[in-house]
Amino acid sequence: MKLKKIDNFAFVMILPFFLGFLIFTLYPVFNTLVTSFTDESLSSFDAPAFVGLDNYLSEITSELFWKSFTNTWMIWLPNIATQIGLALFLAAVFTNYELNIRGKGFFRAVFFFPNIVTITTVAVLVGALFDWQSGAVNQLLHGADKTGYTNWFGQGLTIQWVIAGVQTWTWFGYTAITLMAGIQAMPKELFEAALIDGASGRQIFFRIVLPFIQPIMVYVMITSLIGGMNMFDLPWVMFPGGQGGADQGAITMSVYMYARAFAWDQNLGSGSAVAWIVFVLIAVFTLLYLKATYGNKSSEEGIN
Amino acid sequence: MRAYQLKLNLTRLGIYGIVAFLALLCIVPFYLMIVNASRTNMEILSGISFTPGNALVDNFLTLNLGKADPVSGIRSYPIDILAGYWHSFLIAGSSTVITGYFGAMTGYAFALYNFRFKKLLWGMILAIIMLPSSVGLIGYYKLMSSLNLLETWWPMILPAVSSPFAAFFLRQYISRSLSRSLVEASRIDGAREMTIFHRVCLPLAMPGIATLAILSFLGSWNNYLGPLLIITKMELFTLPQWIAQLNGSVYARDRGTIFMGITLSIIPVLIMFSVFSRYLIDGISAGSVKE
Repeated sequence: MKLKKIDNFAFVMILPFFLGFLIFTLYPVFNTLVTSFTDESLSSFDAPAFVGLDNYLSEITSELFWKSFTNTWMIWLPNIATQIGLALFLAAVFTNYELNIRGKGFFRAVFFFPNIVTITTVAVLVGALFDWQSGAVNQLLHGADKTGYTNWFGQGLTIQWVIAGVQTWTWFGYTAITLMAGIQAMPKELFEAALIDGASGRQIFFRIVLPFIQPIMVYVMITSLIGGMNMFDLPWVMFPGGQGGADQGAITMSVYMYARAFAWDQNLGSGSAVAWIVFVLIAVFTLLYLKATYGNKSSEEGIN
Repeated sequence: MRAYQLKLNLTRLGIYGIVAFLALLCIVPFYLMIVNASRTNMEILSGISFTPGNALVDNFLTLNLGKADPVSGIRSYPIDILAGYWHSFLIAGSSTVITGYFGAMTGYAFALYNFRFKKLLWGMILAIIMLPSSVGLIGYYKLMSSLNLLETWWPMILPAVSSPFAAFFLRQYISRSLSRSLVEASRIDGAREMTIFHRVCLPLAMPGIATLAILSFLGSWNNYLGPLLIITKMELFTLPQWIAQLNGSVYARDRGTIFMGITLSIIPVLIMFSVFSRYLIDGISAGSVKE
């Protein structure tokens, strides 16, 4: 009886957290949902009116919304592919007992550094380095002869490549560290048993290490998906005001949402609808990914 | 055996090559940034250089005092990086203290007590970690507007009380570093629950709290969307806001000044990195593996 009383004290201790959660997270999410059914606007003094699903219908049929959707994927897909590729390579190489690479600590720190630099700083830096006439990238690739210079920000596709490249650049070190931690957490007996059985380094990596770190891969993929679908700072600072540069190539879904609500037409109702559509899309893609990963696991286990 | 050694050494060489190239990719942009901060606009336009120029002081003055009008010499549009440092420090510092304290308290409660709905509430915390921040952004703005907190720093500080990552991270740390028997011994000695948390848990969990504090300080320091949403008055701008101001402003034509601005913005991060990088990397490793 006394223990029960003591245990109930936990509620006092978690109260501030959940109170804050209620006020600063749950209520805003709920409020955004309510707003999405109204015509509330920052530039209007009239009381917002209920408009039903109008905002959702107009967004779903809006060309620019779907453009922002495509843009977001055009940035996220090349980014996640190269990022996971690089990170897996580094994790495999750095944890390989045969290769015994030196200076791991140094390289890990260097690869991680871009990740902690303020993303607005990165955005300004990238804008300056990839500048058509004065950027170091063109100067490095083509020397002083300006005729061959690439106008990186001159078309949507190259804008998306640059942003995807920057995303990879900021995250591959982080992801590599995460995967390495997973590999290092593996029980040593697993390796020893495989070695005794005469498995090669490659076999060990693909048959033992990869399946073992699958939960971490799932974690990396899902957090990256959520982050990627919400990408805002980089495209917003590179192309201020949400214009998105040439071909509107840098208008990601978050940029579009923010611009609808706070910049272009200050329409909080439409912005809220976009926010919820994006939220549902993220949930759907997460579930699809989980299903693709774990859905056919039982059949795979049958083969092994 | 020799063929095997040769092949191994060649592979090793190739790998060192790739790894060194990646390291250069991570360093050279920042090196060029620092070099360009000391070059004039004309020099930067005319070509790349790996050695510094002489315009360091000029660029610094243009950035901090504003661009001089070529005719009148009157300076306008200064970028107040120093104020940005200070404001970001105040916000990140106070929200880090709040996150560390309440994160530890929540983590402690979940690690050491058994109470009703514990599993459900913990599941909620894990779910919020995955909640994309954009979905509540507009509601958050409206809430802060109705609380009259627009144009203040409170909206960036108050939510620190419920950082799900802090609760998650510190629950793991506390269940590993604090033994139940120690807590029970303190109870028998007549200590109150809050006293046990303050006197027993907090000191023992300090290394974990410190790691978390570094991560959350960086997160808050780098936060751009929050201040962008809440603050429009320049005298309240945070560092990321001042940096963003460099793009698409009067400075767009003055490359050296832009590079000076971002170089200055990176100094605090660089200092934190050189002091804490090991803790940061350990923190990431610990945060992802324990599931």
